[in-house]
Amino acid sequence: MNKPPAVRLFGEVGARPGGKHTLECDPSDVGNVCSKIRDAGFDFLSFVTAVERGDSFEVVYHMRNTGEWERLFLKTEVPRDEASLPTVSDVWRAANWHEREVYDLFGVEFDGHPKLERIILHENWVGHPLRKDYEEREQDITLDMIDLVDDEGGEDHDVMYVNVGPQHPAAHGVARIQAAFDGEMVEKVNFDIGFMHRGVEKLCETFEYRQIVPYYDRMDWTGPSNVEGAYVRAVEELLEVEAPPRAQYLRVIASELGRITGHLIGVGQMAMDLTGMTGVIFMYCWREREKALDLLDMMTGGRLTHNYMTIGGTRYDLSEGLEEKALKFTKEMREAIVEYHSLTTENEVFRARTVGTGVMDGDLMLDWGVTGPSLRGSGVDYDLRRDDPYFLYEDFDFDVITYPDGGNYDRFEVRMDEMEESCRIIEQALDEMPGGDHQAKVPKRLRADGEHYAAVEAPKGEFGTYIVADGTNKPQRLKIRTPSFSNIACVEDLVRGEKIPDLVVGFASLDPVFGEVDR
Amino acid sequence: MLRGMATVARHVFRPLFTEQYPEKQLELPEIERGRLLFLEERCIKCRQCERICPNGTISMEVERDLKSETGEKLILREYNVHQGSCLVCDLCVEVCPTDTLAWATVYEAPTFKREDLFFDRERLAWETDRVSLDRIAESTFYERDDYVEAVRASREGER
Amino acid sequence: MNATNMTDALLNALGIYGLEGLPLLVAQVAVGAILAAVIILVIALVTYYKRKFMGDAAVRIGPNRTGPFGILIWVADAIKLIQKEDIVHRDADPWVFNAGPIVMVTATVMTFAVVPFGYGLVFSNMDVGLVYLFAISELSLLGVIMAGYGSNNKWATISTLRAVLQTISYEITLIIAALGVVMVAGTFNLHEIVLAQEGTFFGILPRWFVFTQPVAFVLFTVAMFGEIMRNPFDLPEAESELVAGYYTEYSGFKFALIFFAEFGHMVLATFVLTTIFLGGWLGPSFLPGVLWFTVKAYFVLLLIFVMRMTHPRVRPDQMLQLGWKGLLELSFVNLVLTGVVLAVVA
Repeated sequence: MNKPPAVRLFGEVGARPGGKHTLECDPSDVGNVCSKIRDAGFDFLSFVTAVERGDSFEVVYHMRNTGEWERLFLKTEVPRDEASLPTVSDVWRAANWHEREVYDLFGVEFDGHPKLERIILHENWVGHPLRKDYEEREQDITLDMIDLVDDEGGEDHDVMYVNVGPQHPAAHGVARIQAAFDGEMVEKVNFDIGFMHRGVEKLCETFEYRQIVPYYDRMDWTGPSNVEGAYVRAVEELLEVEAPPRAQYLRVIASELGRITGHLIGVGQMAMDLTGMTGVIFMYCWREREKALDLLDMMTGGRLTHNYMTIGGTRYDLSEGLEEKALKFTKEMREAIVEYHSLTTENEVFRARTVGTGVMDGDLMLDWGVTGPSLRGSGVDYDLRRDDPYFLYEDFDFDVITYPDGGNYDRFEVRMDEMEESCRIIEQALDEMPGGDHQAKVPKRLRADGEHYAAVEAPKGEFGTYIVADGTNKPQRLKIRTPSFSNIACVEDLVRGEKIPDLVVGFASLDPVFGEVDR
Repeated sequence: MLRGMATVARHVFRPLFTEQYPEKQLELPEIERGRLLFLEERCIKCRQCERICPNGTISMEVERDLKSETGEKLILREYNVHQGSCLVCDLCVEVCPTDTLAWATVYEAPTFKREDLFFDRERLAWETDRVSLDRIAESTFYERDDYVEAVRASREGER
Repeated sequence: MNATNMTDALLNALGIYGLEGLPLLVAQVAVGAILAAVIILVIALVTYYKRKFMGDAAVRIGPNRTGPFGILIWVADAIKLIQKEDIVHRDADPWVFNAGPIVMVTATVMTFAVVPFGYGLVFSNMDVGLVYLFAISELSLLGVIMAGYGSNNKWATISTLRAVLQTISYEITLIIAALGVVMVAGTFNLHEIVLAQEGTFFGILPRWFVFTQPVAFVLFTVAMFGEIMRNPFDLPEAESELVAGYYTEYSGFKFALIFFAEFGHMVLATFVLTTIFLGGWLGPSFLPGVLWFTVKAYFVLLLIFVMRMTHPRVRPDQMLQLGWKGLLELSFVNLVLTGVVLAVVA
């Protein structure tokens, strides 16, 4: 088992080895190869994307196996003119949305896909923007209501079609859930995303490596410092630059403060969706979040858009007086968590509402590609901080929180406990802060070659960057694997048969941020 | 259930966390990046800031004048910062070899009109003078009108 | 002669006795108008106080700009809402849509007529006061239905169905729980129900029905939360699910009316709870009765606020489970037990 997966598996699954972690195969074989890969234990599909290579598209699949969390890439090339290959959405459910995205942005068709429609752009959109030869043009966009339920029940079957969003109190941004209600029951939901699509991936292709960092901040505004880490880590590993230990520790502090701010929104909004605006819990979460933001402001120079991590280090050294304030904050945070518990998990009504609703078991969650607290709420022990350490996370002593039942309650509890673990990590980092410089020497003009994928554990889950570099100072392709995009795909399974209030709560318990869903 | 109610009841008697703006303002750390300052006399017109800026917030116009009286070969004609599109990413400040650029902390950055966020050379100089005299972030909210008047007057004077 | 209604009391205070016919009618209308105005003022102040209190609890400031400590916020709110455009959208049924808020407000204000604020301070001292109260306050549900269906909006429809379901489920418990009190007091007259609570047990514990009918009190309180549609039973409103429930489509003055009716309902509930369980205006004589009444109602109001801020909302099926499978049975058991005890004592 010590051999890298690609070396171990190529004979078994019938593909050519393309590197230590990479397999290659013909487009027509993709279906077979993927089901064999899945049989070999790789039950988590991280992303599917495409890269333009001259006259053809290289379609890349990235998967991992449970327990070992080894990485495996599968690549295949399809010609540009007849870009089509078999779907793998029957192998991993997660492939469903990712394949739609590739179809939407590149025009690669997946035969046998249950619903091959545009996902991020509007259905009337003309052209595929991530192709290099895409030209801007005027687009005709109108919003329609789509019939969701097939006429199975005939005339006796009354359903009401409702648009939950794009402007709805519980939309958490701009999601549009087209739902079919049978009385209070949710019959079927269909997600419509992409209202906030800003074309970050396309933009990044026009930037130098250094200029990309600030754009990452703007994807997950609830915990931007983690997200920066996802890019910085990928670029550093690609360029083989190593940040000094002091910088790594500073990054850990920023990341964990970011995790606290992110989870506070996740927890607060879920409680608010249960209680309504009149509930105080949301304001209490906001109070602690303000304190954390003050700290981040002091540390990074920006409240929400930090741009703190640079390639090879951090922008600033530890600010004066920060340590004291941070220790005060962690103390207050722990007290506040007790308070939150008294208002939520100790409340009978809260328990009645959340325990046993929105239940999804770990295997199905993995199949949908869900990561982060939502996955750990289903008992799957997977945390990139431990399983694929970055920023010297291996130095720290912390627990990976899991809860067994996979309901809304468990996902909520995971976030609550993780905030406490974050406090612990911050205290350790401040305590053991190494001396030295906070920025490594990095050449002024960065040029990279090759390709690399690296991910970090953002508050919502696995936030990864797949960079394909072509030797110039700009990336040839930058795929951003965002956790919320994969997480919310499972909502249609999660809420089917539940009541309307649980549609809202189940959705909130996945803690999506639409900046990163739509990118 | 009762503990939750007790928590709420307790908070009624606790001091408030919210502060009333604009009577009170948050104290910003010195490190905070707010508005870009530009010390023109230091500028060597290398255009690195313009190049590194991700979305074209900074634009400058430099003229080559080999027979200049002052001996400088490059003359800065225009230096514009459109604060409205600024990402406050610090890349320009970082790249500048002569520390020409700096940040001022600004509490009330928004304006009523888009044009008010446009800083040309004069306005940058004015802003830089004002802030370097007193680096503390001041309320520019109420001073806006006077400021616009001042700029307008100075422009008319030039004509 | 003891004055037992507000008109008489006021007229007596002014030294006018023995009015009959038209003058009496005029006097009654005038007193009614004054009462309605006072009630409206009280409700408006309660909205202000609610915002301030909730601000305090949620570590915020609350209204503080209009008037000293923001006390005039309700005036500003009213002016703002009246100025706003009154939108009746194309698919709405304009008659039903417009009438809904009016029915709600009328029903709410009418119910205050039988509430005794002090000894003799009741506008209409009916013998069937409690029955009138339940009957009229239920009329405001009609307003909700009119508003919900008239809006022709999907959220409003779901909300209306929930409102009807909830009110029907909890109304029965509410009435049966109150019947326990009626049996002990031997009257439906609210004024006399208060009088029946005079005196003390062992010289300290007041003879309020909250002590003699504790189960009924709990049942009544819970059902009251269901009836006034506040957390944890604010299902029809449920802003995170149903946008704004049955008043999603309302704007301007009609929205203000609905808002007002809702608050009126809440204030009424505190008054009723005070009257039939907490001894109304009764209390040690160092304070006037009206003040005792206010103090008690105030604490009930605080209970509603704190409940509202603390508890999540229950799901519709849980609401029905609780209503039909828990509260209703208990209320009948309470009724039967009360009857048995009364028979034994008698």
